[in-house]
Amino acid sequence: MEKYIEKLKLSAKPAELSELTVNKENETLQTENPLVVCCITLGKEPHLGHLFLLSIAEQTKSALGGDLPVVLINNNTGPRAAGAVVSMAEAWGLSLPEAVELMSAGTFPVSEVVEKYRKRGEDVANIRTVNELIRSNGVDVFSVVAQETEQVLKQAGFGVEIASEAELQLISGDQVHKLNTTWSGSGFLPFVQGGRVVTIQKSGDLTATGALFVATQTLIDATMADLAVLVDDEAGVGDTAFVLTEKEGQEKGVQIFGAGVSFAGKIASGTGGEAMTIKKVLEEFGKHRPAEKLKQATVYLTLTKPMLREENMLSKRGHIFDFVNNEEVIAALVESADACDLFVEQMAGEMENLATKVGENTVVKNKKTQKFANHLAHKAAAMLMGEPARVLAESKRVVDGVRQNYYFNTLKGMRKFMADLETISADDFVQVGLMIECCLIRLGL
Amino acid sequence: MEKITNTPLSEKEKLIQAVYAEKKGRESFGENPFTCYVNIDSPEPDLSQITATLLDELRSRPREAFLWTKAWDKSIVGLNPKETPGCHLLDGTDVRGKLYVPVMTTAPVAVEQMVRLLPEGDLAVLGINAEAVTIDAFLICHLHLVNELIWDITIAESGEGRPSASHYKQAVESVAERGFVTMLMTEEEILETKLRNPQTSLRIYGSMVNKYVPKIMGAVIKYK
Repeated sequence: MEKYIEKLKLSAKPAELSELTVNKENETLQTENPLVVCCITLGKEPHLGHLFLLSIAEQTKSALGGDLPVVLINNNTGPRAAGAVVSMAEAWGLSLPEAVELMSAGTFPVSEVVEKYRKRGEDVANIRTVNELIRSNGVDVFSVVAQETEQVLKQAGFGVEIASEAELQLISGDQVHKLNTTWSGSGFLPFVQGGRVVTIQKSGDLTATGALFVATQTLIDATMADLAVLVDDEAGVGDTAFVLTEKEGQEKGVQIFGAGVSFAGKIASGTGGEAMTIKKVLEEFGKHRPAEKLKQATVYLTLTKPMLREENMLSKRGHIFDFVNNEEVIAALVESADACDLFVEQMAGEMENLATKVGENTVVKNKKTQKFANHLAHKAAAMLMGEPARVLAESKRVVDGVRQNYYFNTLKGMRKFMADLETISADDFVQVGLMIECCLIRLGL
Repeated sequence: MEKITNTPLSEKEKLIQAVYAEKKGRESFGENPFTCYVNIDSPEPDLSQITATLLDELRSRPREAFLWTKAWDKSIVGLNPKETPGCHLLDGTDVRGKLYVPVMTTAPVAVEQMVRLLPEGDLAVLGINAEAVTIDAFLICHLHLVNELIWDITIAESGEGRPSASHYKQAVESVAERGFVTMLMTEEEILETKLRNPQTSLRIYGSMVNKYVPKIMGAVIKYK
């Protein structure tokens, strides 16, 4: 008699090749229209940690060039947003649809929304109902916090625009199913490539990664961006960049790491942290220096301040800007604003000084500098064209705790070069001027 | 056939409690030292292949499979493109387990069609609760019922003594040799079968991790 297990094996279908095979082109990264994105839940006011995140995003945006502003995706979908609505409805005796409507209309003050977000409800059935209301209407239940945040950031000199994740999902949430036709419609949607699995949807809902992917892809489609740079340490952000790249077969998504904030080695950002809100930072900074210089001061700080690399801080973040307390942060930002101004002044001064060295030829004091001088025209041309691959690679490097920036490093090299010159030809003088101008623009200082 | 659809809820609950209390020599508490990962590559996997790989895995590692079963045969339906489809019994500390992404679907699939394609054996009938219609819920029920049959035979093989790994091995061989019939049953039919024949084994879903797995996963109805 034939064994049952043999019958099972005979009735099994022959193995088929996996459906997903993408030919990834091995090409150098190029971008003319990059989009820099970060994602924050605006159920509470963004704090110091977010200020640094946005500054790194601004720094990246300036370095890559292009016309698109940094886009902050307001993470206003999922159980946390729904939980805040449930809590609001309970507190005010509202039905769930009423609470959704009033919150999206910005009826409640920021303090009330933040309080309800912190004490968000956990009733599973109610959360599911609110999730569905948010999803089907694409409304922003954190609109009041988003509006205030946008205003605060503009006052601080940021060009950040806020986009609602719920609205972006409403526009093209269903596009996600194209990622895997085999699983589409099952309530579970994995993106599978090269042995790596990214879960886009599970139990019928988009995962955090899925939501970020949908939002970013919708923004890419709307802005015709050719590269999305996602700034954050979260693993889901890396997964989103992976999906964006692999589904196209060429690099379309890149993750840049952010940085946390700690006070005396203890994580300060987050719900339970002590870090002050950006609004408060702006208020305090504004007492010492013009408020609109806050962005510049923070960007310069991220270019120059060494970070901690603490494995034992129980933080997922790789790098942390450590301060004594909030007061020290303000002092550091004021100091950084002055240092930034001084740096720009010094560059202008050094260019003026260089003008006095213009002669027939470029003559340098040592051989190393001669090599740089020989390739000056080539370096200037490459820089003016933009070098996104080098820019992004450099921004992922940390040397002696300091985040690296391609243009900042180039400027430092240029200063050494200028100091080492006996004379400079008129042509080279023009090239140096163009390079310095380009670096300062790409630094956003 | 007498229906018990109007059985008061308390009666049904009492029956569930009695079945749940019937541990049949398995551990009540403690971590499961092994996990069976059911690797599927689509929402309509090949049930014959899954069943065959389960039996192969249990036959090839009877000692581990015995311990796995004694601790309530923890199973996870997952997706791991680096591994072949089918069942893989892994040690709880095995890092390969982390490569499986748990599959959590919500849409019903044509489980009747899958069941129909399975070959038939003559040891028992596995009556799977027809409410288990998502693929992950269905596979969890199917796996636990196959192993419930193996465990029932293990106990029978051990006679009055304590079930051992060698008894388990004989039981797996027996199931691999003679097989079973799989069918879908309503919950009422499952309960009725148990009431009529106390030798019928019911399997209760205790973990509640997957909300689409019915509390009564199904019945193992052994041929006399």
